[in-house]
Amino acid sequence: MKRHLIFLFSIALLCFLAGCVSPVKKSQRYAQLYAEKPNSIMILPPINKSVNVQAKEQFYSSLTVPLTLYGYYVLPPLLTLEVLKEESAYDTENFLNNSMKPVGALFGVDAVLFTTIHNWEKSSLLNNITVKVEYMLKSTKTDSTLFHRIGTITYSSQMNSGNIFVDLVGQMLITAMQQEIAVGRRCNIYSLYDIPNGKFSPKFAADSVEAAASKEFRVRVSN
Amino acid sequence: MRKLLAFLAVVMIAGCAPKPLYNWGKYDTYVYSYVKSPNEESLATLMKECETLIADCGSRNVPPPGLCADYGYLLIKSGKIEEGKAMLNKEIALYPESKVFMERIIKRISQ
Repeated sequence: MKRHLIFLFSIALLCFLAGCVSPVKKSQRYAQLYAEKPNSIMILPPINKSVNVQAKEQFYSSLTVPLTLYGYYVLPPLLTLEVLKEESAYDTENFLNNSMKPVGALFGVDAVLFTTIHNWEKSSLLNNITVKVEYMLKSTKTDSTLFHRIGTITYSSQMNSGNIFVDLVGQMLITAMQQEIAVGRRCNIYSLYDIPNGKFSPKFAADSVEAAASKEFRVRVSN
Repeated sequence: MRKLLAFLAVVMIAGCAPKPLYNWGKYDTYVYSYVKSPNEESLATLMKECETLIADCGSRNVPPPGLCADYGYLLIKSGKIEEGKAMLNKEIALYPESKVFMERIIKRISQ
């Protein structure tokens, strides 16, 4: 009897632990985003905390494409940058903690994307670049954080990550473009692929049952 | 054998991959080149890419969000004001969510 009880208790404990580690659904992780259904996004110039002075513009130019491919309307990157420069709003760090409601009214957007480049380091010895970027999508309606992820990507020039999908994405993206733009693109692909799809995507609203990825991740890619 | 299977898997996955919503070509690279060194050459390359991408669309059969607006802005910078405005209006027609921002720019140009 005692053995049976121990066995049953073990099973119950395992079920409990399994329940604890079961993946969180996107509908739970991004509940506010599903509730608000933002459609239009303004990308702000990245906050650059790295030593690479060019990282800000390099990274900014790579942000629009993935968000549009996930079904969002994103304000024109070049025109937005020019207007922000003209209005002395190029240094995003100055208004990171401000309400975004006035921005929403002024630009007609539902959400604003903040990015912070924490690290952008090139190692000539190891022939790789490591970047650490934080993404935060903030609502202009409620000032809530709708999406938040932090990714660390190490990009090197050998293509064998051990994961066929990672390699496939790598192969598709590699062209003769500058390595820094390529690494920015990769970082965006891995970080933003978890964002629920926007209005223009066929997956809009249908992806809420999918498992959400971890908030912080680290990945190594190569070509 | 394993390599062959992996290769076939890659080919199959690539073959089955849906066409992206939009064709962005090398737009991000050219935007960066222009922002970094705004000169005649980088401007011409970027404008040519805009023209190509407006004509060659992805699965939604429309130019990507913001592309007509950026192209309009470049036309205006090149002195082609009316053509530029037409592109900004095209952006509104394709993406009504751009209306607030586009009308602000049009108003500024008209002043």
